[in-house]
Amino acid sequence: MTSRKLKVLTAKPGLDGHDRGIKYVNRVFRDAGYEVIYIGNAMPKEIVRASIDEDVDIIGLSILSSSYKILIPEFLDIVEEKGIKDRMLLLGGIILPKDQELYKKRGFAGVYGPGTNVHEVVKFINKHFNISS
Amino acid sequence: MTEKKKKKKTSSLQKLKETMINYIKNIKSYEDWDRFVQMFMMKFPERKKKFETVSGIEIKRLYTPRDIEDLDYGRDLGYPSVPPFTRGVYPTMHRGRFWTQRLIAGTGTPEDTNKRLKFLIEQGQTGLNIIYDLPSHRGIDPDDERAKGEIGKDGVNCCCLEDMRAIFKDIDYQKYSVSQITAIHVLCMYIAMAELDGVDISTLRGTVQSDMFNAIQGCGALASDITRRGKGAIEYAIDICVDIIEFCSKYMPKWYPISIVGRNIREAGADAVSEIAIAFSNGLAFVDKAIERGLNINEFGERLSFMFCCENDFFEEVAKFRAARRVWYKLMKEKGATNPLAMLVRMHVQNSSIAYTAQQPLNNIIRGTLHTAAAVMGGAQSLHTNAYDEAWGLPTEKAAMIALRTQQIIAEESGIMDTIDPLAGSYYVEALTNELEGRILAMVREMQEKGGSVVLTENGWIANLLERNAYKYHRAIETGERVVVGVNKYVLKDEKLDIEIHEIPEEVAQHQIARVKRVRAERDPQKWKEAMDNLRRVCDAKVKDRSVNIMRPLIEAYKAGATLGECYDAIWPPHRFMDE
Repeated sequence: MTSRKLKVLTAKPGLDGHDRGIKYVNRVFRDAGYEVIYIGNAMPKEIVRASIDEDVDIIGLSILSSSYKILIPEFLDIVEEKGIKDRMLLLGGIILPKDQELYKKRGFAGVYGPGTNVHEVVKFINKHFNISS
Repeated sequence: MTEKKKKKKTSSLQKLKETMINYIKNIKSYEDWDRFVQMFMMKFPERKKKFETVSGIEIKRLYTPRDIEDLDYGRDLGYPSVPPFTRGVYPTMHRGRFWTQRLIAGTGTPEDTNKRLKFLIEQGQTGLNIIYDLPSHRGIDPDDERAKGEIGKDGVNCCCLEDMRAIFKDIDYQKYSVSQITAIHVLCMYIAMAELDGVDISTLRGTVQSDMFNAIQGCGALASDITRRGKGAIEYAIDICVDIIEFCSKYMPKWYPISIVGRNIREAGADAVSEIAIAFSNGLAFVDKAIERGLNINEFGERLSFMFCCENDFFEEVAKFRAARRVWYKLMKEKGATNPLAMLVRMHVQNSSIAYTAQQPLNNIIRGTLHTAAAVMGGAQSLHTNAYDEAWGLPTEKAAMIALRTQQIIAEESGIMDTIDPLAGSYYVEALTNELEGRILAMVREMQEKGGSVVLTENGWIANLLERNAYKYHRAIETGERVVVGVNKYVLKDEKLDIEIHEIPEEVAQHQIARVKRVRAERDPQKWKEAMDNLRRVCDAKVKDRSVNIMRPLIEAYKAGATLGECYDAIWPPHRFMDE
């Protein structure tokens, strides 16, 4: 682990405005010592662009609209195309179980639904990046 | 335990019991009782050190007449329909007629939504309540790149007059009170439809949400198009809402031109106090603008309506609805209203979605029942109960029907609304009503002193408050301090999702894209151009002269085949307030 802070970019793909969840996550991540860049609503290609520009370790998406069915595969396509699959990808929101499995296979390290304990997610991230919490 | 020890324990318990009996016989006052309880608790402590409402108001062990000593019946409660309206806004309340039962419908194509509306009407629903998808809210046509993935997902897609007609096909919409969860565009399409159908629009009954603060504060990014613009954008948006108020007061006297929303602000993080305080502070911003426009508070005040949440804390919610009526009465009086009917809080209630869980989703039926009962006891005029599957998606027909049945069972079987304001006089409910009133009023005053809702939206004060509150709420769930059944207690191991989910097929998008393209191709280009030129001219004029009303030109544009995206851009061209 380098001495710099873990850098996370969070975003809401598409137009979905339900941001209570992602704002909570942002705060918990900041409390955990991560540097959080929240860009709000953005289209998949903008999210990938910003993630490359900011050279982040983690990309966290939150989406509570079933528009995820179009926007998340598109995001994954662009991630592959731009060659940034090495970043940790996290997804939260209302994602049907069958799609959760699908997206995990395609590269998301974690897909989280309502009721998730975000402190458990922090533990998962810290373990992955060898950070003692 | 040895025989001897057992005997010793029994005798000590026996002794304690005797002491207590002696004590009970001599309790004459609250102080006596309190001393007795302190003693009792040494042996039998309470479940928690401190009891609080969901909003953090400390709950006493017992409420007695001492807690409402200062309550003056005439001044603080009064009679239903009489100031300060604590006990309700109509003389007979739910004895006269039940609240309007209106479940939100809005799914997929206008045709899909038409089918759902007819189903709900068949099942006995008494009002209509239509929600639109995100592109329709944001003024984006379905074939716009930004609408990708969103069409028909969070509501019905509706971007032109033809869509509106499809939503209401073979529905006698004049007969129903129609709530439109959206703003000026859909209202103008609705008016255009009615006028072309030969309906006298002064007979139309319903509500349009139109509160743009709700979109910014309650729906976050939904309004990012307004908030990303510079100074003046919010004021301009309020002025557009005042256009609706002005138009309706002249031509649609039975229509509620605005529903001042607390509900979605609650869902974004507010508690019972800040939900009402922020909604009222926003409401005052509309009132001020309407007065500035030269409208009469005693007239438009009668047409303001409200939408609140109903969360888990049963008594706090009932007290909140009662307190809200008292506070708004006082605020409107201070603004100079003298007509009692212009000081009423007519409220639609939608229960909390935050309280619903994705885990063990059928439990949400019980949550919905409690919320609905509290809203009824709090004196709501209109109700939506969330369906049990709404933590997973838009409701299936079955889930929507159970939500409607929840209201029907409360209405027809429970008897809880056969007398008006049944919880009045409860020491607890009255004390809580007083406490909430004090806190709400103090917060409204604080917000006014800080510059009011426009300033506090622009400088992020409201957004930060909601975020901090939401953080506290969810942290308490993570630590287990706040119990959520099925989530942090009574959890099912390896739970599998075992309910049917309503999924929106992607063909919806193709259908809507094809339609908007056809509408553009088939309209009379000359008529369309004239209507659009006129709309743009009027909107440009409005930026300088806020008394210009854009409603009529907008209605005419939709009649001429204009689309939502085109009209939205006429009101909000990309440069507007970007550099002014």
